Amino acid sequence: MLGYLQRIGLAALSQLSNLGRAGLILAQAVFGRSRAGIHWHLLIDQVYAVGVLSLSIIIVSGLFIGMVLGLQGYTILVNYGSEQALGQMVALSLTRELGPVVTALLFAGRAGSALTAEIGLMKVTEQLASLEMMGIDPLRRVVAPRFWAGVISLPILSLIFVSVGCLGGALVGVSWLGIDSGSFWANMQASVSFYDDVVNGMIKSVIFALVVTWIAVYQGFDLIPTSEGIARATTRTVVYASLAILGLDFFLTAVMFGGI
Amino acid sequence: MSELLDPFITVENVVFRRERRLIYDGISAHVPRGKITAIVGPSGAGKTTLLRLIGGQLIPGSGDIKVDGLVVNQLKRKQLFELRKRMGVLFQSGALFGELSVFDNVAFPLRVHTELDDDLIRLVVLMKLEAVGLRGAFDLMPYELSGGMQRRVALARAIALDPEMIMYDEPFVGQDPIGLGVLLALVKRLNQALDLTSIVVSHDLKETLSIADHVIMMANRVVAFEGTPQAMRGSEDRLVQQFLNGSPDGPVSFHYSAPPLLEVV
Repeated sequence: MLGYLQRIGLAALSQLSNLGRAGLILAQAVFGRSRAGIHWHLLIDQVYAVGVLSLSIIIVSGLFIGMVLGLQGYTILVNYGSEQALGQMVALSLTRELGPVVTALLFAGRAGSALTAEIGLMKVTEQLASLEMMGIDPLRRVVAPRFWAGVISLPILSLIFVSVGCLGGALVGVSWLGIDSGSFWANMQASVSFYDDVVNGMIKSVIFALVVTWIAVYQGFDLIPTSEGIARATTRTVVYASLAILGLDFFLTAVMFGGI
Repeated sequence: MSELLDPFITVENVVFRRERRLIYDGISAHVPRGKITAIVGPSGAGKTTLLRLIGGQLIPGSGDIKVDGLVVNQLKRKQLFELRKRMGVLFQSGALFGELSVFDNVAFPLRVHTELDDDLIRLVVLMKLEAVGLRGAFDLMPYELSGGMQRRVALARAIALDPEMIMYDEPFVGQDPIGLGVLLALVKRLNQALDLTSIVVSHDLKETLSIADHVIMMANRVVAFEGTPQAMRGSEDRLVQQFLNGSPDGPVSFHYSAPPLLEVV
């Protein structure tokens, strides 16, 4: 019994220690001083790597999810004679929930894992140690640009996902199932509130971006420098980030729309 | 003797642990200024660890490490990064940036730490590459180079900022006889030409001792020997003799510390 309690205590202490280290890494990367200030060219390179290169998966996924929403929504709404409200249903589902959540999940799988693997490989091949010994802080040079690139890119990707999803819904609802185009778009415009829906969705997206990118860069920076260490850290990034997104989504939804 | 009065690096009573494992049990040593110091010893003796302690990448449990009078383990982060600009390190793997060309790898510290214009940077980079014999390879990518060439490019990068000291971590591993000879000559030549203080961690005892002025031998968590290569060869210490002769039996055990086999089966 005592041994069992000890193991629980050790595991809790280890997790707390990890959280503390992750916090320190983030603080040093984001708030640490740099002689050269913000490395704009590094930031732009990383926005391209994590943001622009994620566009294809985001657009394709957004299109299909919008199409599925249109199809599923139509089969339910038509039973009540409310198929004209399909635009409203597709847009609200996307802006409030599916846009931020699915984009963040895809981002964690595509860009988050790549960030972890890249930073991890730099650690394995002693590039991070080499930067340190050149008098260059790897947290400022390697971690900070990747972190900010994730924070900038994910909300924009989420907006693109929602827009493409709406087009996908229209493709199925209007072009295929024959809902009146004016009703579809007018219902959507009338029911979606910019502040309550779009802004809240974007707030979710920014919070997901902070958490996913933080997890990704920390896992890369703190991994055990072996090939197995990279594999484990990459897996942890995707698992932890996905769980964090889903857990936070419930909490944020409760605060934003649940009246808490 | 004068070198002992003016050491560039002094290690004083350093105790260092990795989790529960004791690596150094109160070691003291010094690295003379302007000389080549070889750090030798069996695998796992903590030779590379000593380099990392000198570079401030690890912090000792107790004791001090002084580099040119500065106590490395007490420096603030910014002071430590300033000190590191005066050090060059050649990592075992070379640690070149894979996405940058040979030229850009060598130019990297110059672009970050200096305000030199592009023409001057080009001149300095080509001079450093000339010094390691790879000026003609300036536009190649690291993956196009052999292991030995990668290390020479890394060496050019390590001396780009004209450091006062340079640390070589196993520079001769996996080299053919020609590559080994080239690197040996390069270490010796650079040390003399640039008036560097050099530290070479290596298993290649014969070759390393041939260029070293000073030797620190690590074994069994202590400094087993410190002195000139001649004094080391003449030492009657059993541990030194075991290491020099490569004997499997002696003070350095073949077996990692463990209880007797009969107790565990």
